[in-house]
Amino acid sequence: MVALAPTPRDSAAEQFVVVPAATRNGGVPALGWSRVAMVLRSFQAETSGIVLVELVAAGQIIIDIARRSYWWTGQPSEFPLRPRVARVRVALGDGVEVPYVQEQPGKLDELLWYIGRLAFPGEGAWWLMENDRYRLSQWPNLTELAHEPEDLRMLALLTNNALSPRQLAAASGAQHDSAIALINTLDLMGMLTVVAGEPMPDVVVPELPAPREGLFSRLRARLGR
Amino acid sequence: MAEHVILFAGPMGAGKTTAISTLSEIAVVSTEAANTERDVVDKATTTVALDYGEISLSDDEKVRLYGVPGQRRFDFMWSILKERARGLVLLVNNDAPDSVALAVEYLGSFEQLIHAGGVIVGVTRVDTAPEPGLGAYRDALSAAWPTAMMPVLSIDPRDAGQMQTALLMLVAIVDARASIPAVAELSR
Repeated sequence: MVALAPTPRDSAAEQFVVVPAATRNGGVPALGWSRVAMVLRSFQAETSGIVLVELVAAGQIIIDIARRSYWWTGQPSEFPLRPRVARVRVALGDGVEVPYVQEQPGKLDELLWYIGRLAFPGEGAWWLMENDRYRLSQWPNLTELAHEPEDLRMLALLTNNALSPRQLAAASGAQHDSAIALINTLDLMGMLTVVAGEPMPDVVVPELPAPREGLFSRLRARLGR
Repeated sequence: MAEHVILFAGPMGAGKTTAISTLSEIAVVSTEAANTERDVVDKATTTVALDYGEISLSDDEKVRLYGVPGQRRFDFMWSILKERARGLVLLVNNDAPDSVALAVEYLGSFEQLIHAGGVIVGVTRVDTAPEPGLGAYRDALSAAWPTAMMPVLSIDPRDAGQMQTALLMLVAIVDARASIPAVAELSR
């Protein structure tokens, strides 16, 4: 891993601007992970820049967009479930330096996978449109991401079909909350293609074979997963 | 006996035998396969090993795991297997010269599985050879097969959890493709 050159804190701080919390329909502000997710989603198209997320009593997350990396003082398994976010700052563009020397960055996809699951519990991410459907444009590297077997079924369905969260849940047999959480996460990671269109009938999607009928389910049981 | 054939292909040293050994509930069997087309294949390479392992799902159902050379010139060895195969795990060691092109070359022997079964690309040895990144493989595969989206994973063939994830992923893809044609129709 290449060590990053340190930048004096005073000069580095001047490069960053505070990002205000997004609000939904001008109302409830995004808090916690949803606030972070809204910021990261809005910068998804950026190719370089640094995002600093200051958590209350949980340190700071430094995200390097160009390197697709992040730094945090703890282990990913120690991330808070419901953090309080004190401030989010950003500096976009080339030449912005990470303000500390950190030798062991994590992969940004791991952070997005975590945040995406928790940011909007039980509802679609605020940037998603109600009648849109989603198709997978890239598989996440699941050997590096904690996942459930039902995630595999849902991802496989999204490979060849554009589905709404409701359709995805119906086709996979997963809970709606699981389907919407996965779509939130994949879209935050930039791994979905959005198909805007007419509202779809709610439950007309045939389900996969019942859990005990499909090879997937039998193999999963055999492997103890 | 119901059986489900999964192929493991890739260059020598990519970890095919190890991967099958990690997944298999029996010791891996290496089968010498005799060349039946000596006019086509050079005598020095007339015998090649096939690896075999299996996972029993019940008394009358098995997942059969075959490691195959994967190169076009050895197609004759496993043409029957290819017809029976439900999916392919292509393993490519990231420290191989021009490993991305190698992956595309090997996959060229499995067009049928790309379009009608399931294919996963596992990139091995990324811990010691981090470049090229997985994105380079995705880009090359998309260029070669624009309508097919194949998962590209970093993978350690010795890691049972990772190999099980890859196998379950492959089966999920095959199940989804085979079981719900109506979903595709609906979502057009």
